[in-house]
Amino acid sequence: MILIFVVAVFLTTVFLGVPLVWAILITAVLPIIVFDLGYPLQALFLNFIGGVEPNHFLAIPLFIVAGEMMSRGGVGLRIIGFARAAFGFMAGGLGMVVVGASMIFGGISGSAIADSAAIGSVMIKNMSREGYNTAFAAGLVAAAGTIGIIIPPSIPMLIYGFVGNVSVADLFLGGMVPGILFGAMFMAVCYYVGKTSKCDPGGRTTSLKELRSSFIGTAPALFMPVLILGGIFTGWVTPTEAAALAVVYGLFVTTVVYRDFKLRDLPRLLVDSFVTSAVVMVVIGATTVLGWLITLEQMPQILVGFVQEFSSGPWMFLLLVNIVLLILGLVLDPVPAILLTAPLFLPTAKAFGVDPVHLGVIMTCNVAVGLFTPPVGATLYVASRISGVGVLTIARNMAHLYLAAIAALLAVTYIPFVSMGMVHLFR
Amino acid sequence: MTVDYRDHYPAVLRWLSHLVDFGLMLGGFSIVTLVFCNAWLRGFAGFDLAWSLEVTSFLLLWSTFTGCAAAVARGAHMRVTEIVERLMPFAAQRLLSIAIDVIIAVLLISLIYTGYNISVHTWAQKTTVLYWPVGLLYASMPVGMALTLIFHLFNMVFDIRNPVVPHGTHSDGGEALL
Amino acid sequence: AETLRFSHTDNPGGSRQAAAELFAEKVAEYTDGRYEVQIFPSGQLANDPKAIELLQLGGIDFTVSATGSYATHLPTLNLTAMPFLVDTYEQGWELYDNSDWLQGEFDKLPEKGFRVLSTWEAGFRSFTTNEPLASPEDAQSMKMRVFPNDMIRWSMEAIGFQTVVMPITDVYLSIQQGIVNGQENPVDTINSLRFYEVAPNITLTRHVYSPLPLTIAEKTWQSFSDEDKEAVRKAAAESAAFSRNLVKSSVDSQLSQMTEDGAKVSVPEIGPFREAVQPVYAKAKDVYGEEAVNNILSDAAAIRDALPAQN
Ligand code: NA
Ligand code: NA
Repeated sequence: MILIFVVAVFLTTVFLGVPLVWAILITAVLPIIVFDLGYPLQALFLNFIGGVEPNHFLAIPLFIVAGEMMSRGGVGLRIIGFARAAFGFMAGGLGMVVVGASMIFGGISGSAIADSAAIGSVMIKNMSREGYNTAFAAGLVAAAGTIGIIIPPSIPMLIYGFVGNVSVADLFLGGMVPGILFGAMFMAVCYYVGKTSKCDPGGRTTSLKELRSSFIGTAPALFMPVLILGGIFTGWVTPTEAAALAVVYGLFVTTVVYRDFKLRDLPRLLVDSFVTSAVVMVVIGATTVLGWLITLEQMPQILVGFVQEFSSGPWMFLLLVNIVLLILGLVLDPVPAILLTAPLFLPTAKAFGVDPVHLGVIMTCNVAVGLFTPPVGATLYVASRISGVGVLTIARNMAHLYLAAIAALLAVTYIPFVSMGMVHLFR
Repeated sequence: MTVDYRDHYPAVLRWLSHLVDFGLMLGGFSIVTLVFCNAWLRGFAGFDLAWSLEVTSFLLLWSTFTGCAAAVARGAHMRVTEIVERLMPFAAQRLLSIAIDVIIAVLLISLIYTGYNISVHTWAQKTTVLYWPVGLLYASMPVGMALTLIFHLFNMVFDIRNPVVPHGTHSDGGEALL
Repeated sequence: AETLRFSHTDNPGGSRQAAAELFAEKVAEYTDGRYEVQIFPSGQLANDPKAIELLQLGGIDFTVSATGSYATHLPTLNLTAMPFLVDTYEQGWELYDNSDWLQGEFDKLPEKGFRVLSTWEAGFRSFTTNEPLASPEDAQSMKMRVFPNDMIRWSMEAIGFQTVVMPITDVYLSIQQGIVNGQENPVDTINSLRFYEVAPNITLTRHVYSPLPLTIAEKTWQSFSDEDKEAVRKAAAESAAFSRNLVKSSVDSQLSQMTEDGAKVSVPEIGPFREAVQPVYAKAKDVYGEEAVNNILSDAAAIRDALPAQN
């Protein structure tokens, strides 16, 4: 009953045009008043603060600052130019660069939001300058960024391993091929879109000499991802610190090497970037408030109850797991969605002979998709805020990406080898 | 209806908005510097600033909630406007938007009130390294919401006085960064 | 039945969850079903510091958390984290149940908005590192993650580690990525958060006894009748006894399970570690006052004499 009320209030407020942060908070507060649940508002709103507090969120504003700096100076243009030279022969080449960059980035960061912020702030504007539909470019960044939590390391997998008493090392192994599969599917969409919409039809030929000169001109900019990756792989910096490193290096490259960014523009850039990040962060804080209510009222348990009731076999069970998680993904963030459902799904999964690692990978892929489905989806918000295109407009332009994601999801769900192959190889 | 309301603010409010921006700039600069220096020191000088975690969470909280106010001044919060604009007559849209603004104001007042109580309740609690009052970190929420309310109320009055004619090209999300 | 909410950060299958389930059962039984305790594990509702704040603000009724988590509300509680205060479980239980000084500190908590009902077990803190750690010399080249707490940080620095303050949720990935070489926690936590997967050298220094006071919101407590207070107290005491036996008896099986999974367990010579941390007591006196430190040290010394280790 309360579950239906929550969903109704949420959809009504969002679609009536209430800004998301307030819509989500209203959805959390209203049931407490209407159903007289007796939860004190000060406890409820403590979660608004707590939702913004986690230290790894620092990476969000920092990557936005770094990305903005690269894209305001000519660095972004140079990277795009090089990508054009290198991948212009292929339809959708520029889109594939976004997906590829997200996969590489996903290999170092456990957070999809940080990935989307880092890549979106460099790529979206430049892609639309190159002829891509801005909404599609934003959608691509939102979808590809979530590969970051499928390819290890992954914060949601870590949480699943903890609550489910499953080896995190095995989960990380299990995520590798599915992450590449999602990437390949998204790249296929880029090829199709590039070809059919003529924005990036491919067939451009670049001489080796041209490619070399483009590379030399871009090298200082291309060194930025190398620095970030290297810094993290060698254990020198944490992913958050890598973001700060990127800012400082970006400042050096744009002001000293390319000289297309002026130091006096820095204050304005900092303010704009922190406003962008605040817009996203308060929405994350608000979803934490709503998540608290959903947890207290044990709403996911109701859904899981249905799953257990209607599962006649492993095939049906896994289908229902997907459906429930996609529904929860509409309103919940990955970590609470996994925290709340993993302990409930695991016993049933074991009873049906589903490997806990396989279930963990399935759940992670599901919550990853939830990140770019409206109305609540963190990477969708990041992309929307950076591109200036509305959440629904982006989502409408993502139809092919959703289809690709669902195809990959089904493969991960029903072909255990996709996730378990690597695990069996190394276990 | 994305409007950068700052263009229409009276001097006092414009000044307040500049003050918020200045705080954000300072906070942002400190975060970058602090995180970078801590990584540098740990890597090359062999020590970790034990207090950096506390100071950065302090700065992150304050910059987020005051950033929320700055976003209201810019009319930059994310929202879905497509559906209402397609399905509702313009007069109804205006009434609806006033009603929504009033509800948001009520919500903001309750956030300020409870945020104040939370801050008072946690003032005696001390952070673990610098022994700052935890309430000082949490005060970011009510203070940020109070600033948000000030901007929100002015925006509301402005919207009532100056009906914005809907136009086809606007975005339903935040405005693009320029 | 009136519902009471119990939040903790242990995972389903962990010892805290088992004790919480027993506690819930006993509360229902002893209050004749007037109260039902609903358990929220895995930090679903809050992490440790937030759970204690929620006790104060009325969001939850019970939580169980390390003594250090409560110390932000009463800094002197940090003194319980001084190294090598007690050597055995029996000494630790005596310290938490009967030390005059500690009881006096606990009595100050109700005015902060919560009170201690009993103390559950988590065990002694030990190290997991990615390189072997046999002596303080080995620590010289290592970065050690510490949770934000003075006493632990001082002890780690005294042993010779370079310390890195980091939230618990980042630790696994940070060890894997080589940002830190290891971390220190009770065996129960090392097992449930799977740190041995990335830092397989488990060194049983048992440098700090680190149990878990069970607390109730003062407002909830005052709303009980005398009869229900007694019932809840009884349930708390029984769950504490259960928790203590469970953790104490499961350490060995957890260690052998982790060994099977590839961990290397060792017991180092404790003398050099004990020697290395001596300056910590003086530092504690500077910060927390001579009297408080002397009180807990003398209580602990008396307990060690009265209940000598049997081995
Ligand atoms: Na990743
Ligand atoms: Na979603």
